[in-house]
Formats: sequence, C-alpha cells, structure tokens
Amino acid sequence: MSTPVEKRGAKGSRATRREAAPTGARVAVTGACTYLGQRLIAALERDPACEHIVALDIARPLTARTKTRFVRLDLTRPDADETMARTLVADGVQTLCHLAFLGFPSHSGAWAHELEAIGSLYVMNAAAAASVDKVVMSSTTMVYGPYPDNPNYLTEKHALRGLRASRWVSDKVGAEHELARLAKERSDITTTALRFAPVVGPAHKSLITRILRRPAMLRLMGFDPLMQFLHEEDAVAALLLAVRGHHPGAYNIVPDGVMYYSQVLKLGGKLPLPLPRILAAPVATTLWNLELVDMPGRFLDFFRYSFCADGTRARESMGFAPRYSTRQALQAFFDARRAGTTPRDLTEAV
Amino acid sequence: MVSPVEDPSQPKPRDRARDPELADLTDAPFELFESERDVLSLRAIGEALQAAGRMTGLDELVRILDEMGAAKVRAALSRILFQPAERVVDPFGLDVEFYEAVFPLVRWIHDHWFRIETTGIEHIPDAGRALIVANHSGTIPIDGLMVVTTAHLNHAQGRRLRALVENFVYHMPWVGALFARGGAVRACQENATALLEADEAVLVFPEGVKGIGKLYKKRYRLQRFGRGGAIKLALSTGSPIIPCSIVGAEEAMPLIGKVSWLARPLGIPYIPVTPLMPFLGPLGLIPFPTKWFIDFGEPIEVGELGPDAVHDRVLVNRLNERVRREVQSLIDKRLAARKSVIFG
Repeated sequence: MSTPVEKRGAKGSRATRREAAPTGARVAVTGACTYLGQRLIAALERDPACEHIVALDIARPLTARTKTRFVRLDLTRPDADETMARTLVADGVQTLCHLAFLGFPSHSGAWAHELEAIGSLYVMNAAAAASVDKVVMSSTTMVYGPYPDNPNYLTEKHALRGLRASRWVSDKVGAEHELARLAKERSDITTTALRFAPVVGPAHKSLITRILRRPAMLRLMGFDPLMQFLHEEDAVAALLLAVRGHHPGAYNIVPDGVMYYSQVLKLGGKLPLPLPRILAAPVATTLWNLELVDMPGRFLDFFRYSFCADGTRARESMGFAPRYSTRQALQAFFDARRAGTTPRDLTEAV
Repeated sequence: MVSPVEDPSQPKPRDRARDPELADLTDAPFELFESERDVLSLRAIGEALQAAGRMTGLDELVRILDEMGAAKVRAALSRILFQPAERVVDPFGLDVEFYEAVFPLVRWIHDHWFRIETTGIEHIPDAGRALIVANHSGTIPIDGLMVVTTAHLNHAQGRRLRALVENFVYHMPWVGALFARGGAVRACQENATALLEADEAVLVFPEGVKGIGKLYKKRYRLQRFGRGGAIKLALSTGSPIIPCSIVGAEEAMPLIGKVSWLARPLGIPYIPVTPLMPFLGPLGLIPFPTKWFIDFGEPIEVGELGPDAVHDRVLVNRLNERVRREVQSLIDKRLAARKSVIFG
C-alpha cells in the first residue's frame, strides 16, 4: 500500500493536468500484452485526444509506439500495488484499464489465483491510493455461471454465481468483487466492469477459440444450450467506449442473436463427439489432470446450460452497437481459420 | 477357376430325387408352414393394421407419411435431428422450420388422438401481448403442447403461443432441447417479462408442478395459483389475461401415485405411477385417447390499473383469485356438459 503522503501529493499535482485534458487522455493498461490490451494501446496511439499511455505487464506490448511508456509489473509479486501506485501517480494517470486476465484455465491454479484475484486486489489498491478518476475492468459473462435456473437473458443485476469447481471462473468473480468493493469504498472513482460474451475473431486467442479450433468437439448428449459469441472488433469498440466515456457500473457486452451449440458445431464443420454427461465429466477431468485437454470436467456445464446475457443496458446507456451478430462473428472466425489468414501477431491485425 | 469340361474325379451334384438323405428332408412335414390360418403373413398384418387404422385415424397418419414420401420423411427427420447451421433461431430459441417440420405429427395427435375441440379462440388477440392462464394436468406436460397446437391451427392469424415450462422439464435431456426449439421457454419472471414486452402471446400454468403432479382423485380441482406471479406479470406489462380451461387431459394419464425417493437423484419432482407407467416401462408414457376440450374465456383487461398496481398486494391476490375462479368455472361448465371421457 502506498502512503497517505503520496496520495495527497498525487492529488495536488494532478489537479491542473485534469483541467487541461479530458478523462481518457492519460491511460494506464494492466495486462498490456493481452489481446484487448494491445488493441487498446494501438487505438489510443492513433487517438489525438490521448496524450500518454502507461503499459503495465511483464513484457512490452508489440503495438506500443511513441506515446506509450512501458513499465514492468508482475501482479503476482506482493509489492505490485505499491510499484503500480507510484507509477500511476508519477504519470498522472486518469483512467486505469485492468485487463490482466488469463484466457485459459491454468494447471497452476495457485499462480492463476495470485494473478487474477489477488492481482485485482493489488490493482484496486493502487487505483485507490493514486486516486485515479476511473477504473475499467474486463470481465466475462461466464461470471454468472451456467445454471439451470438462469433466465434466458441474464441482466447485470443477477448474482455472480460463477462456477465454484472452476478456479478460472471463480478468480474472475473474485476480481469483480474487488472492483465492487472499490466502487463502494471510493465514490469518487468511476468503476466500469465490461462483461464480454465469449470473444472470437481471427486474432483473439482464448479457451473458447482453442476449443473451436479442434476438428472434433465434445457434445453432452441431450443438451443443446443457446450461446453468444462476440466478435473481437466489437469487444475493442466497447472497451474504447468505456475508456472514453463515463459509465459507472457493470455492462454486459453481448452481440445480437443466439445460436444453439449444435448449430455452432455445424457452422464450423466440427465432428460432434456425443457423450453422456455422467461419463464426460470424469473423462474430461482425467484428461485435464494428464494435461491433455484444455478444460477441466466441471467446465462442461458451460456446454450444458446457457449463460446468455442481456445487452440492453450497454446499448442504451453506453451506446454500444455490436457490428457482428453471433453468427457473423463465428463465421468470421471460421472463415479466417479456413483461409489461413489468422494473423501471427497483433501488429498484423492492427 | 471352373473348367467347362466335366472332371470325372469330382463328385457329381447330388440328385434330390434319388439321394435318400435329401429325400428325408423333402418329406418333412411342411403343413406347419402352409396352414390355412396364416397368422404371420404380411397380408394379414396389413389387414389388421388397416382395421386398426380405420378405428383411430391411423390411416390419416399413414396417408400423411405416404404423401410426404420416404425421401421427405428422411429429410424431415434429419432436419429434426441435425440442426443445420444456417437456420436462424429467435432470441428465445424458437426454430420455425423445426416447428413446421414436426407440426404434422403433433397435429395428428391433436386431430385424431385427443380429437380436441376448441372454443373462444377469438379471445386471443391477432397481435400484441397476451397472457393465457390455463389449468395444468396430466402427469406429463403434454397439455401445453396441445394448447399451442390448437391455437396455431384454429387462430385466424395462426399465432404461435410461447409456453412457459417448468425447470425440470426444460432441463431434461433431449426433452428440453426439443421444447426450446418448439418455442417453449423456461418459466421465470425475467423470461416472461421479456416475451410479453416483445408482444408475444404467452401461455402459463400458474399451478406449476402442483398441477401436473396432483393425484387422479383431485382431478379438475385447481391448485393454488402460485403467489400471484402471473398476475404481477400481466400488471407490469399491461397484458390482457385470457383464462383457458383444458378438460380431458386429467384422464389421459391418471396419476395414482408418486415415487419421490427415486426421483430426487434424477432431478425430477416425482416419478409418476399411472395405470401403465411402471409396468409397461416407457410405453406407459403414451396417454389414453381421451376426448379433450380447450376453452378460452373472455379476456380480463388489467392495462388501466397501471404497472404500479403490482405493489398492491391485496389487489394482486384478489385478481389472482378471480382468474382462478374464471378458469375453474370454465372447467365446471365443460365437465357438466361432458357425457363420456373417451367420446366427449
């Protein structure tokens, strides 16, 4: 934790700068090397309204140009919050984007927990200590959890039930709780949580895209949930809206339209592997323990019950209008795969 | 290779007439297979089937299948079983092509199995939101399917009702997936509100599991209408309430007992014991061909009360009781007029 002296100093020195430039002019990005981080930095580099970017990660983002200052930050270190607060104050950061989340469940659950849940605690500590104006955090609709009593469209008001057996999801719920705690304790900081539907696209990499790349996909016999897939461009557009505007609260960032899981398989020309759930879960868990598959067995519930979210709030108060529907996003993803136009790194995509 | 010239070393083919061993076989008593009363001949089976068909409208089913042709039946089956990717589903999963593909079969059940008679269909508006409140019965929720079918068949605009179904049905393997494709939606306040705000006609069974799970001796006695959720829904969305009674479904699958202890691990509220159910296995799930009557009553307009009336608990309860009485009186009227369970 930073000292009160630092905090006071930060406020004094930043007051003049804040009057001169609108919010969003000085931005810090944690997880700068994630897909969203690199795309955000690329967009802000081109944006004349943005004057300074601080990229916080363990490696330098490829899209960093002249405005970006790279600061090495490892969120799993216990002193991460202090280092980060110092950087935020020194660079007069107004908007903090917290994007340091894993796209894949890790076999090293303890490390992932330190990075995502505890890392978020450090980030919120630093944001509070440096008194930034705004914190924008990326999240996922998976935090609602796949449950049979979910309504077809979950709104932002629903409890974040997550999936207790999956640490990957629980840590994201933990990060949301840290953000909510910051919002409760510091009314002067605007906090925005963007809950993205599973993101697909030619360049984005995550567990979902990895599963969708397989020629054969597991299917739970008798279950066919409705699904949403957000195109990566729409995810970036929503993130930019949140960084540039004033939107307190949580927002579901979802596309128009839904598809049955069986339709997703058909669209991608996948070979379905139907298994009864009672068999699929232990098989998947065993394979996961042997590090042969991408997801643990309990994660299969996401292919059993739908967790579609309602995007009305983002549409109405953020003005977010998705350009791709679920089907178009998936089509774009599969087309890019088939044509072999998947960019190797993000500098090509941008 | 077989040489055209006869090889003397090879034995000659055995002559059936002269060979004593073969003669024994030919003399075997074949009367068994040539009896006059040919029980297993295809013709007899065909005749028996035709006779059966004339009885319950099976000929109609055969005609439907015949008209469709084998190729079309296969195509329809594959359409049902294998969802093509390019098919567009509505936000709640209704798949119109699937609906149309299975409709002939459901229609056959409607026309020939239950021989459903419908009155008051004009009370369902041609467009715009409406909340249809019906009694629930019959062990397995086939009554919802029949109300949806009868509305689609008889309504001037062929409206597709969106039925709200209980959790446990919606998440039964296969069953839930089929229901969702056919336009059913899991029953909860959020889903119902979203559907009504999209100006759909929504069918609800406020009795819920209590309705289908009541024993035969309690038939046609309406259970409590939940906690007034349906009324609150109508008030908050300004939808007219259309009472609806279903008579005949109670006897289609009379519930004489329930097994609860085995049901809990299976995730269903009960395992039904019907006259046929545990003894005939899955065949016991075929309902009796009772005659059904579906009557829609006068709409109850609640729009002028305004959405704030939701918070008036006494009013909600009073309206709830009024709707329940309306449905009960529709049932009672029909029961008084009915002479036979099977023939109506």
